[in-house]
Amino acid sequence: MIDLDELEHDALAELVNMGVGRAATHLSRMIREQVSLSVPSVRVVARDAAVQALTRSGPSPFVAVSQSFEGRFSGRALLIFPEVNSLELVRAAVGDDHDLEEIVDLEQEALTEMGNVILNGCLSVIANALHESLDISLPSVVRGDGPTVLLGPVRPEPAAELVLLLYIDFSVRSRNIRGYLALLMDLPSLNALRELIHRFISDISIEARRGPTA
Amino acid sequence: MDRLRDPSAMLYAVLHGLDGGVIVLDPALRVLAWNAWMERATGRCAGDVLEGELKAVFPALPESRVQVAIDDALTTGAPAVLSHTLNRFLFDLRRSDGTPMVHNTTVRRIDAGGGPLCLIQITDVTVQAERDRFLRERREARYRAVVDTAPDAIVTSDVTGRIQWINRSAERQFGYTAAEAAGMPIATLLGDAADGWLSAAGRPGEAPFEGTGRRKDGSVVALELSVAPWTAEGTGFVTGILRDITERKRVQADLQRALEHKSLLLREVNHRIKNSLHLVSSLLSLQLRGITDERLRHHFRDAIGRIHAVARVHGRLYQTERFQSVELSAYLSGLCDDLISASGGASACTLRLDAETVELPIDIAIPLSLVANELITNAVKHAAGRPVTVTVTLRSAGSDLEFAVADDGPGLPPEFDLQRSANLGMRIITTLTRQIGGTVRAERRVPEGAVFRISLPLSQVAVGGA
Repeated sequence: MIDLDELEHDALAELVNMGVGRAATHLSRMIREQVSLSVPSVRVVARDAAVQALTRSGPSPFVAVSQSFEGRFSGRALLIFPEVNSLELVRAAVGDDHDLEEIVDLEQEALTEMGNVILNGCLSVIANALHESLDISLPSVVRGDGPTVLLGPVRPEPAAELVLLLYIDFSVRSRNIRGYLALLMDLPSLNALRELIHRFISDISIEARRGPTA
Repeated sequence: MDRLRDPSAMLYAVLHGLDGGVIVLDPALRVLAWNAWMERATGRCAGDVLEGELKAVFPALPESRVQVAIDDALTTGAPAVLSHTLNRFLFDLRRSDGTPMVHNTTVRRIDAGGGPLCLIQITDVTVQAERDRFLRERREARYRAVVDTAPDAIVTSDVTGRIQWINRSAERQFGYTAAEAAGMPIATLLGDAADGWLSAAGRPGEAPFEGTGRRKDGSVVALELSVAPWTAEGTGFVTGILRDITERKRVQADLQRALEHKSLLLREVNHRIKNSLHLVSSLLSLQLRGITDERLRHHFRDAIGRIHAVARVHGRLYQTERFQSVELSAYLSGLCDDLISASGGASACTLRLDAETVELPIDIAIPLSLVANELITNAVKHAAGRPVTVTVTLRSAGSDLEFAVADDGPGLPPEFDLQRSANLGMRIITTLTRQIGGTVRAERRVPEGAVFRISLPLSQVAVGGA
């Protein structure tokens, strides 16, 4: 278990917020409505604790959009919603003039794409800021209870895998929908990410010392 | 054979044989590959397009989602899916019959050695989208035929209570269109009954419950709600049938009012009977004043006491909510208090009451109360000036109700025979006891005193029975 110190924590929260901010811009353009996304908290927890947090949070089942990434740090990024919220999210995205049957039909693809935009936003902002190149997979949708969406349908051996767990709040068409953003990484990946964050922090400090004219 | 083994010739053949569109762009967004499928779908041949910018083919490109996806893919390697569900007709593509093509698109980075390139793949999903729509419409047509002709309002929400759909009856009943209702919380229609809606969602097979609905214009409607949860493709919903029971409620209220009116009348009647009986006894009391013969006075007092006993039963009938039965222990307690004060105070006579709570029908209660009046009055009267203790008990014993009056007075005379007594009081006791199907026994007590026991079969005295 590793704990991020306050500086690392803030830097990471800043990066993720930049990422979802960018995703919000894209989503707004996509559905021609103002979308705002915010990430109120960032925590690093063990995988089991993340499963518990998810299970405690409310109704099962969940639906998640998942993308894997590989590079200096590797893992899986997940956008998770209680299934009851996912229809609402899709309805918010496609508008109210679709009936229920249609939305159920659209749900899978629309959700995949929205998840893709948000996850890409986060991953690419993090990768850019850290000057890293990531190999990112196409998104896929997973449904099931907390363990299934977090660990995948085939549970891996109990490993010291860690989860960067964030709440994500959507606000669109006067609806507020809360979901989770989870980055699953093993310990070496998280350490690599941490190192990169440190470099990012010191770069910023150097830039700050040089002043705005540099 | 050698020609077939030429990998680049084979890849070229594959590229153009693919059943999907392939575009490759360099970082300056110039087209490096444009396969035969793209030629067919756009009507632009590769020769026109290659080496030119993509926006020359798709002028709307810089404004579209594709541009962002391409930039992302090239700069960070993040691949994108662009679904027809959120991006209808992203590119202007046609099917072979000239109709617009519904398509899905993926955008990703590839590396061919000389730096990053962007690969765009397009698939034609027109047939699937059509099939989905067709299946949906057929599905809908079938159940719409049922639900839209239903006379009751039918509402479907998700498990958080957000309305997904309402039928025509619901539109009429609440004044919202289905489009307006979609997305509204169920509480907008149901107010407080929304709690029942949500709790029913967690418990299949819940009994129907009543609530008050709110129309768009603010008026209310009485509803009976039958609510059940269900699941479609892993997603939970709640559907309720909302029956308008305003008319039923009105009839119920009328009945209730009629019942209350009847109760009021019965109470009034009993009140008047009691008052009339009191009037009769008052007249007798007035008459008593003019009488000096002690034997006659005695008879008058007995008659007054008997009228009081009956009046007391009617008094209890209008004081309680029941009009056809009397709770005997409360009655006896009042009777004892009256008789004590009539006998000249507690010093001369002690009355102990030990009575179970017993509800008796009025045609049993009136004779029994007269019997009780006789027995207790007798016990007090025959004390012959000595202090006497009278014990009144009322209890169920086996299948009988037993009523007993015991005293420690001078006891029964040696020749006493209850059945042959010419005394009016004794005749009243035996006649009325027989009338209500009971038996009476008189016993001597040791060392002194007497006890009268009345037994009534419980089956005889059940309220509502016999």
